[in-house]
Amino acid sequence: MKTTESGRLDGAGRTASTPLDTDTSPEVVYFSSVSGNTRRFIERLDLPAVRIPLRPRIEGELQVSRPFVLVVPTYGGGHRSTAVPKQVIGFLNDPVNRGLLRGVITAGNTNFGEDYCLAGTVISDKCQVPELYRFELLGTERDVHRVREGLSTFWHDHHATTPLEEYA
Amino acid sequence: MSLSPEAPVAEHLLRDSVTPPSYRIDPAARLRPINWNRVTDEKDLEVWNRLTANFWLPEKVPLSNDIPAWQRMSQEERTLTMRVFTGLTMLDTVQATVGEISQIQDARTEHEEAVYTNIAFMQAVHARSYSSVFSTLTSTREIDEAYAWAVGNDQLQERCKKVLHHYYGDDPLKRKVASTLLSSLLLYAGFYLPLHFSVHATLTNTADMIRLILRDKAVHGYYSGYKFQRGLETRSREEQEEIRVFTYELLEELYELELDYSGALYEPLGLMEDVAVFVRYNANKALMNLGYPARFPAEETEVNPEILAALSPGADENHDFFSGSGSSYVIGKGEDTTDSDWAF
Repeated sequence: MKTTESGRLDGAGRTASTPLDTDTSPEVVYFSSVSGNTRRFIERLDLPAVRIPLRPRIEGELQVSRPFVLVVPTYGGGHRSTAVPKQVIGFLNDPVNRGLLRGVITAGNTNFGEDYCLAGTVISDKCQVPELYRFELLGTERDVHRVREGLSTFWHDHHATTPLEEYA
Repeated sequence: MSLSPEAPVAEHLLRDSVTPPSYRIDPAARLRPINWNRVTDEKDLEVWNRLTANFWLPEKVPLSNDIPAWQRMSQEERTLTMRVFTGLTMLDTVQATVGEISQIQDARTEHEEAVYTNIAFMQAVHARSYSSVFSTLTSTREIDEAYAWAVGNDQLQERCKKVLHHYYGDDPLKRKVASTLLSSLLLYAGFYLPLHFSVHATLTNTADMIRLILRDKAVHGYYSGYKFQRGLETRSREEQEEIRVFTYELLEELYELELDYSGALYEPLGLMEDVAVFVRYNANKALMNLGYPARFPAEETEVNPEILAALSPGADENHDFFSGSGSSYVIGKGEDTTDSDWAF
């Protein structure tokens, strides 16, 4: 796992209150509530990742500095305005974070019918980035495998077409 | 006598107080009313709000629009529908009157106690809703026959009694496992049928009602599973392992029973293979709610795409950008949301 110089960031979900520098800002940013369902998916993914703080007022806001894919759970119940966790809205309201968002992966439950993974649709609409993948609850082994392989290809293609200076 | 704003609160009184379910173990303790202004687990409030926002009643669903479709169905299909729905009613009755209520005594917070009362009521609404379908579509005589079938069906009785045994047992975590498996595994062979009919444009209003039930079940399963995991964290390694083994064993027993019970119902219509896949898919989701890995491999849980689309139109491969050619991913249409916080 990568860590920041101050050692405050790791894949298990600790966060930094100052902007992450470009060497350590990971390509996966995620949110997970106290249930920890999405965190478990990220742990199995085994890629460097940073967690959006659950309590930003206490833990500090997260600001990233390199392009990233967002992994986010849907708060189910069929209300578009509340489908995206408010901490994720706060994170994306920062124009720096929003500008570096390249895609969204969403956790949900098909029991919510048309609103399955609604958070991904809302973020994709608002930020004009692709919805890359959807999975249910903790995700299956197949989901973990597909996302790991898929992200590898996605970043390879992305880095091949984006000059480094555009990351700033 | 009025208190001045500075008067100290008798904190020891609050600290030593208990909620009403504790009367059974300590009748002398002072009782505390529920205080929603002091929430200690934010999930309790979040789930309460979701449950109340999702509230519905069967009277809101225009079930009578299904009468023409019902009249076109074969006698075999009608009998199957009656039996499947009576079976669902049985399970929701167990859940409303025992399954949810029995978890109140194990609550970790006073708000959790309140959430179970809400879930129990909603399960009673679900049990009530199948009766609405019956009274809309069929006759008293046919209804009575279906209920007699349910009471006389050994497998249906055994499915219920297997979970009831744990509801009345002495381990709070086994209660939660049994409850989650009922809500997220046992019901789904029944839910399959209205989804199957809706694919063929039959009983579509009934299917809409089932979708409302499915939405509720997702929240119920999530909440029980969440509280299960919080409880499990407090147990020793040995106890955790015992519960894990118990969970997979109970799942296996219920799954075998399910194949027997549903096999007898669905095999005559040639649907059982499809139903079994749907049950395995939902068994895996039940385990995930409890925080455990899937029991069945991906190849055995590939739900018929038509059924999956009837459940959730967004669950198709269009949302797997990674597996496609790379040109077919979905970008949203840029509609506005109404929440002002969400204005960039």
